Amino acid sequence: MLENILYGASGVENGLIRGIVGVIATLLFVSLNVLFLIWLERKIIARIHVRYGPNRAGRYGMLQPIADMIKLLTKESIVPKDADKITYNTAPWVAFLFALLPAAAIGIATGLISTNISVGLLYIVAVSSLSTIAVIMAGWGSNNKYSLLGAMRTAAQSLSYEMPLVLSMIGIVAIVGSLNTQNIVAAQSHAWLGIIPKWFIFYQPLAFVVFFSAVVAEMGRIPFDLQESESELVAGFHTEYGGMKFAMFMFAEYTHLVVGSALVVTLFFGGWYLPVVSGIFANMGYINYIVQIAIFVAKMYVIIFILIWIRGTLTRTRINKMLSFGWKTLLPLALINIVITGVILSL
Amino acid sequence: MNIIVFSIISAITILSAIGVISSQRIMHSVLSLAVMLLSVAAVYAILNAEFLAVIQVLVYTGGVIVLLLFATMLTRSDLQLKREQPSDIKPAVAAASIFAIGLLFYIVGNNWKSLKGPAVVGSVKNIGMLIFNVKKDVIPFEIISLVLLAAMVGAIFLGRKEAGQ
Repeated sequence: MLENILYGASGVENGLIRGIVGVIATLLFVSLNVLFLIWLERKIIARIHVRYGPNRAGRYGMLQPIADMIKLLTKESIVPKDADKITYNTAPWVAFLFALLPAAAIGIATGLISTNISVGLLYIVAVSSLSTIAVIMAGWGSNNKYSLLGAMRTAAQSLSYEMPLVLSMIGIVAIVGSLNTQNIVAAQSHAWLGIIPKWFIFYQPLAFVVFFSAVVAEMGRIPFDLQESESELVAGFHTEYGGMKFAMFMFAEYTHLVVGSALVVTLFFGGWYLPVVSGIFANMGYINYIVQIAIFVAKMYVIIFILIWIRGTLTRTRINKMLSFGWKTLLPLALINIVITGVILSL
Repeated sequence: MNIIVFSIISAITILSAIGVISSQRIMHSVLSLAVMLLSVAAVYAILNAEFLAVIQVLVYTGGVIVLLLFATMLTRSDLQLKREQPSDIKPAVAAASIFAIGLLFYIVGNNWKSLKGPAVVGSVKNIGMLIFNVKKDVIPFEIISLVLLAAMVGAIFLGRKEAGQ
């Protein structure tokens, strides 16, 4: 049984097989979404810009990401003469690995999760702070001042936005009383009057605003994509990269997008629960799993669409404004949210 | 099964620890240290101490290493700079050897108890119960947090530029 292999406790005893299946399933889910996302983002941005976007390879240009991938894979690998070879060459793989790690603790249906650890949310926070290391490796290893400045900005950005990101989750953890992502989704599975879902966005609207802004900043997307602002820094930390290694960085970036929006759905939009629909399919075995996955993926793409929409609409902020926004606006808001949640919970 | 995984992780830990002290470039030392701290977290994870493993990654690799990398990147951007060999390393070697032998005697001599089944002792709930229990550790814990807060305020005060400077 698929859910037994992935969920563990009752099914497969062998931890190694379970681990391998979990890794492959995570990799597959993220890769398929990334491939689709590259096409989707180009198409939506083109629509916003009143252009056509990719429309040659395949129907509606849907094979464009595959064509791009083949192009990047067959390119010559060029390493700058004065670069630090070890750091320069390993950085893209480290970036890819660290981007993928948080996905392991996010479930896409009841029990469909790679590692169902009790400290799931803390694990996600811990491993997502690691991706800064890869960026610094790339920026320093390239031995290029633009790369170095880009990496420096990324480090400053991720250090300052991690604080509001973590603090805005505390309200939810206090309400649920658990750090496990499965429990967090289960806590949102009821509805008022059978129609209005009890999602945490209605309980924690302030936390949602803080969390969403911080997630956009951690992903490094417009309006917070200062790490690669081309007018000042050429292409930021990956200026010196090309071909396959550049593709790895792009893959890592889109993985951040998938994982970030999956996390938003898990924390604030009830994961795989939809008020009326979930009730109808609740006792249908495998069909229920397919419906849950479909609901989760659909919600994820709504969030992704909003993120792409933001990218197509807003302009880039300045680095000092961005940092002061993080420290002077988001952090106090997150703290106020904790105080309000604490007072209400103790009443 | 666990013993194979443990051996591989220990080998990585020891090799990266050697890498920390033998690398010519400071950046490589810091990155080796990151690998070492991550593999220590992996050791905690195979011992079922999930909370400890995650905190290890969060505090050491995500916090300390990122800060170290940030500082190293700004101070030494010149790749050609190599670390100088210290002139006299004999006292350091002697001190380290004595410490290592003492530690080895302690480890071998101690009667270690093994936990059976999943380690519930290290779960978030139990740690929380211990820390925030009035009869147990709440007062020392709060005093430590006050000391840390005072240290942080002090650091900001010392590092701040005077107005008009």
